[in-house]
Parts: sequence; C-alpha cells; structure tokens
Amino acid sequence: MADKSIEVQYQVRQNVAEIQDELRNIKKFEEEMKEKEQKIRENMCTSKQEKRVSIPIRSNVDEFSKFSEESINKMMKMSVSDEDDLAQDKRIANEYKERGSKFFKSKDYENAIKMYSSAIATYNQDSIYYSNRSQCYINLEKFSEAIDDANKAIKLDSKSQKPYYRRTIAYEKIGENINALKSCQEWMEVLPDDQLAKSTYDRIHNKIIENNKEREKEKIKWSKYPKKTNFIEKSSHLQSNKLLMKVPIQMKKSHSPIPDDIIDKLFNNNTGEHVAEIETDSKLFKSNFLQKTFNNNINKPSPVRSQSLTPKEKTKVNETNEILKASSSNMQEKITSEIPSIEDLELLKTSYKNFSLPTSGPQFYQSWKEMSDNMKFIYLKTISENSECMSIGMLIGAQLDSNLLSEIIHIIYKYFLHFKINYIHLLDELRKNSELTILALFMENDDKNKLNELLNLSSQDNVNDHTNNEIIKKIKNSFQI
Amino acid sequence: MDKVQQLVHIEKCLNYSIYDVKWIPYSAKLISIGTKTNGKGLIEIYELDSPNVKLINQISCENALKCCSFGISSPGERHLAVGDFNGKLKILDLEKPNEPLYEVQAHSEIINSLDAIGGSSTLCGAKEIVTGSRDGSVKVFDPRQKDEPVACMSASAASNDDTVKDIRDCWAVTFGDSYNNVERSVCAGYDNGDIKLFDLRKMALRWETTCKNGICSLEFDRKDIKMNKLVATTLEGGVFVYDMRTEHPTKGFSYCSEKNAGQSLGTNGVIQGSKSTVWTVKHLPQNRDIFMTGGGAGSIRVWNYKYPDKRYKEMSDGTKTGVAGHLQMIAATTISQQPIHCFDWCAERIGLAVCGSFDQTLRVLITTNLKQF
Repeated sequence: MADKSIEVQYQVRQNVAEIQDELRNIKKFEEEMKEKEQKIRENMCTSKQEKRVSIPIRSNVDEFSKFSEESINKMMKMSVSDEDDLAQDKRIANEYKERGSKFFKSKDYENAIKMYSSAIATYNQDSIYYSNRSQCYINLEKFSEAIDDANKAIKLDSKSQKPYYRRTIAYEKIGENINALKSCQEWMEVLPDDQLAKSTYDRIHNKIIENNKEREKEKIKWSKYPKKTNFIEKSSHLQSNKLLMKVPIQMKKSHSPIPDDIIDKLFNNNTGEHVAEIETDSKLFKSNFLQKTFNNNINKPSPVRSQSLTPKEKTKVNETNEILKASSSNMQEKITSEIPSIEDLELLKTSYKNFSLPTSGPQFYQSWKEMSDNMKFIYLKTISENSECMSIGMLIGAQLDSNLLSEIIHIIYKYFLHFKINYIHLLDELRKNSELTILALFMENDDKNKLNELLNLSSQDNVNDHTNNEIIKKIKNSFQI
Repeated sequence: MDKVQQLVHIEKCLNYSIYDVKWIPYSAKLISIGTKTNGKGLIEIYELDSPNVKLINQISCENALKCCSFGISSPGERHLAVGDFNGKLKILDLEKPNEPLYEVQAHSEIINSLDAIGGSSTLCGAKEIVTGSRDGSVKVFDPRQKDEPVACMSASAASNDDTVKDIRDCWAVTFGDSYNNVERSVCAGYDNGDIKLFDLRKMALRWETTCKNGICSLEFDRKDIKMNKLVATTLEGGVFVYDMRTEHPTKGFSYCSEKNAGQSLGTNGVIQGSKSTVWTVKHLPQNRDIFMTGGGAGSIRVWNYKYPDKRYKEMSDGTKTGVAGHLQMIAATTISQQPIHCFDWCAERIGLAVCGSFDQTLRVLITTNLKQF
C-alpha cells in the first residue's frame, strides 16, 4: 500500500512538472513562430513564386479522353430511331464543336483544334467549324493554316463576317499587308455595312502607307554613302599627248630579296593588274616548280608598264624604282664588305644545322636558296672538294638556269678568289653541264666580265700548267667569252 | 511509458457558433469560422499570446460559414477555402478578404464538408478542393477552372419523385492517395453509412462499403502518400480504421473498429450514458499512427494504431487480404459538456491543438509526451 501511494505521489509530481515545462515552452514557441512567420513573409515578397510544373486541369484531361473512340461509338448507338444519318452526323459534329468551344474558352487551343477537326471529319459542310478552327490557328500563330480554314469557311458561307475578319488578321500578322487589304475589300463588297470591315481596312491601309514611307527613308539613306570610284576609260584621242616621264629602271641583281611586304604595299591593287601565278600541280614540270621555289628569294621586279597610269600611280612607280635602286646599291656594298676569315667560315659549317652533302639536284636547291653568301661558299667548297659527292655539273643537271649560274660565278668571284682557292675544276664541271651552251648566250655582261677576269687570273697564275690552260681555253669557248 | 496528459491551456468564450477551427500554417495563429446570431458568417483570426489568445482580425461574410481548409495554401500564403450554408465555395486571401480569389456556387444546398490539397507538397499534384453537400453530390474544383467542377460524383438525376428520397446526404469528404501529380482519390461518407472511394485519375468508383451508422467524419492518415489507413467515425460512437494497403477483389479493405468511442470516461474508466456520436477524427501531423477523436459527450480521445505483424495474408485462392491492427487508447479527457465537433492539431508544435464545441467555446489544448510514440 505504501509503495502504491509513493508511486501515485511520484506520478502526480511528474505530471505537474511536465505540465509546467510545457507551459513555459509555449511562450518560447510563440515567439519563435512570430519570427518564422516574418521570414516567410519576407521571402514571399522578395523571391518570385516558382512556377509549378504545369499540371493540366483534371477536367480537360478527362474531357478529351471521354471523347475517345468508344464513347463516340456509344453515342452513335444511342441515336434516336427517327433521326436519319445526316442529322445524326450534324448532332455529333455539334457536340464536338461544343467541346471545342469549351477548350477554346479555357485557352487550350491545341485540344480545341482537335475537337473542331473531329467535327469537320463528321460533317464538313458547316462553315462555323472551319471559322472557329482558323481562330484557334491564329491564336497558336499558325497563320497559313488559319488562312486556309478561313477560305474554306468563306466558300461554305460567304455572308459570314468572322471568316473574313480572321483571314484579314492572319494576312496582316504574317506581313502580307496587300493580301490583307484585298481580303478586306472582298469583305466590304459582301458586307458593305460592316463597321469592323471599314475600320480594319483603314488600319491596314495606313499601315501600308507608313511602310512605304519608311522604305523611302531608307532609300535616301543609301544614297548618302560615298560613291564608288570608277576607272576612267578615255578613248585614245582624249588621252594626253605628253610623253610620260621616263623612269630609268636599272636591273640590279639583288642577292638579298626585296621583302615581300614592300612589294605587297607597292603592288597592292593600285594598278589594277593582277599577276596571275600559273598553278601547276604536276611535278613533271619540274623546271617551273624549281624555278618557283628558287624565285622566292630572288625577285626580279618586272618593269612597270606606265601606259595607263594616273599621276598618283606614276609616283608609286617612281617609288618602286627608287626602292629598287636603293636595294641594289646595297648589294654592291655588300659585295665589297668584309669577308670573314676562312676559319670562321669553316665554323659556320658546324653551326649549320642541316648541313649535309646533297645527293640530288632538288636537295641542292633546297639548301642553296636558304643560305647566306658565306654559307653558299662553304657549301660549294665542300661539294667541290668532296670526292663522294657528285660533281656540281651533274648535281644541278638540267635545272641549271641563268640565276643559279650567275650566283655561282658571283660566289666564285667573291670567295674563291679572295681565299685563292682553285676554282678551275669547278668551272670545268659547270662547263660540262648540258644547259650551259644556251645559258652562256643569255649571260649578263657582268657575269661574263667576272668570268673573264677569273680565267685570266687563273691563266696568269699558272702559266706553265698546260692542262690548266687547256681547260681554261675550253671554258672560254663554252662560255663564249 | 510516460503518461500522456491532455489539458486545456486556453479557453475562449465566443459569441457566435463555431463551426470550424484551423491553425494558420507556419504560424502561432488560428482561425475560427462560424455563424453569428444574425445569420451572417464570421471568420476570426487569433494569435497565441499565453495565457490568452489575442484577436487580430475579424472578417464578415454574407452567408453562414460551415467548413474551411488551408490545404491549397502555399507556404507564406494565407489562402483559405471556405464552404457556406448556401452551397457557395470561396477561396479567400486573409490579407485581402474582400476580394475572393475564387468563387463558385458549388451546390444547391449546404456544403457539409470540404477538403483541400495541393498547397504545400510540390509533387502531389494540382491544387484542388472537394466539397460534399446535402444535395448528395461530391464535386472537385480546381481554382484555375471557373464555374465548373473538374469532377463530379453525384447520384443519377432521376425524374421520378420517389427516387429523390433515396439520395443520401454527403456528410464527409477527404482527399487521399495523392502520391504523385496524377494520382488522387476522394473518399466520401454518407448519412446512411456508405463510404465510397473514387479514383480521380480513372474517374471511377474504386471501392464502396456500408457501415451501420452515418459517417460523420473521414480522414486518411496522410494525403500525400499512397493510401495507408482510413479512419471513419460514425454516429453512435463507432470508429473504424481501414487498412488501405491491400485490397481484396471482393472483400475490399479490412478494418478494425471501436465501439462507444464517443462517450466520456467517467471515474475509474467506466463508460456511462448513451452512445454518443464521434464527431471528428484528426491525425497527428507529426505521427500518422496517432489520431484523436472528438466525441458527443465533450470528450477527446487520443488513439495509437498498432500494426499487425503481417499486414496481409494469403487466402486459399491466392488472393491477398489485408490484416488490420488494433487501436490503443493513449488518452481520454472530457473538456466540455457539449460535443467537440471541430479540432485541429498544430503542425508546428507536437501536442498543441485547438478545438471548438457547441458551447461557443474555443479551447487550446496541450498534450504531453506524444513524442514517445
């Protein structure tokens, strides 16, 4: 008994304690909730309401499914006995129309179109279905379909206002204002008292006028652009009689090429002439190919034809010639400039990355065109000295041309003479080249002089060497000095 | 197990008949709706201000108001769906009560019961309100669609006068089984004891049964999950708990029941007096197996449902049938002399509740030790 009473007491005390706790906490709770509420209110105001995933209104989903095939069949079976087929069709089509109107009201245009289409499929002589469907298409911005439907509606009932209006609006929206106007005119012919027709007509008319005005303005804008300059084509009797100022153009063999950008500047379409490059893909025409690659370095500027040039262009030509003169004079200086010692030149060989004895003509060309004068000397020297390598004449073979020949002669003149290295055998090799006879004819005077000098010097030095003299004679013959 | 105590924290006497009480979500405020003596409707907003409630606002309506719900209100919003004695359904924004957000003449007679869903959970589907009326029809409304219900379950309109008597009043409606955007069910209870379960996706009657007495109140334990339990309370003190997980093709859902649940427990737990109606049932938001019932004798009972070991059993012909558990009464208190016909748990604080009774008194209750379940 005592235990029980103690238990009861304990229980009661506990109960009371719990209740007291609860009551105390309620106050805290109330305050917390006030704060929470405030926060939520603020969040509501600041943040945008998230758009829910649009869940369709239940009725729309079901209305359509209600009108599934089965229910249509049921409805068909339900037909009253004294109704004939046509009336039944009409009734069913009207049902569809009602459904479609409902969808239309709730802005569900897709389903409305489906309903109207079903109506048309059942009974296609009622213009209202087409007219309503065209309005649905307009709302979905499918204007061409809208126009089609409106036309059909007009065919079935030419006195109804709505199809005309819808057709006009559809044309207007796709920007065919003229067609819209025509449609409106047709409308006004059929329904002359229709105020809507008149107001629509006026509106479209004004639009067209405004559009035309804008276009006019744009045209004016265009003419403010600066005029394109045309070439002046004067007939010969109108051209001036005065002799054009002759500009002496000196052909200087420039060993360092005129930089491409200067040439581009000069010849950049000022003359209107375009030097067409002959594109040859086939490597049969080796000579051209090699010539091209070789000519990258040496650009012989062709004389600028000065017939039909305006004064501006003439000055440009003068400039060109000036530049050429300047560059050529540089060349002359270079020839007499200091030649480094032979040891230094030998060192060049080691520093030169790709130095290897050529085994074929193209290889020779490749290396040759990239080299500086010093390097060329070393190259020639190495080739001539090295017994493994083919002789220079054989190496170059049929690709020898006047440029290369003059270069070689220049190198010999400059370096071999300077270092007093024997060059006769080199010249002999050259002589044996098959092309030489022709090339010798086209040799420049400069080269011929140099060659002459070289040969004379050589014969002078080695007076007693008969073989040498023999060779020299032969060389002289072949080079036609 | 600690004793669960229930006590009345605040009592507020009002001068009008209270028909429904609800907590405003995410706040310590509550509303009570009812009818003034002049026949006009009234909505009052109170704030908890221990040891009192403080009146914040009063909203007057033309018609007497019967039922309400905050179910379609998103967090932060205060949209209240209200049904009145004239069959009109309105959605009011409590911040701007003069312009209803939605208004429709739902029924020709009084809206007996109303339920709303779709406000809080994001994935349970569209916002909808279901109303059950004395005219025997159950209608589902979507605030986006004006005038027309999105679904209507009514007795077939027969032209003969004889059959009119057969149309039963709908006394209770509730949403349930709304576990995704598409699925939803409506359960309706009628005054002859019919319980009908409608599937809104299939738009078809899914299950129906009949109890001995008229159904006063229905509730699923949770609206936004696959249906688990359904509690139905009836006249003459009956409480039925249906296990909705397993449906037998012929027998339907199995249930467990309690008799005399509406009576108050006198001294020593002896049940006295005549059988009284169980007016309302509400599940605890924090625990779906605990619910309270409000009885006609002014008593409130808190129940705990105990699941059976196995929720279904295989029959001899291969079909499954559900097995219902049993109910355990964890608290019983008598707080009034008049029936407790409306009740609402607070979702913010476990055990806090508000109830209204026919003696025009609003009571705020505290229940201790519910956390232990």
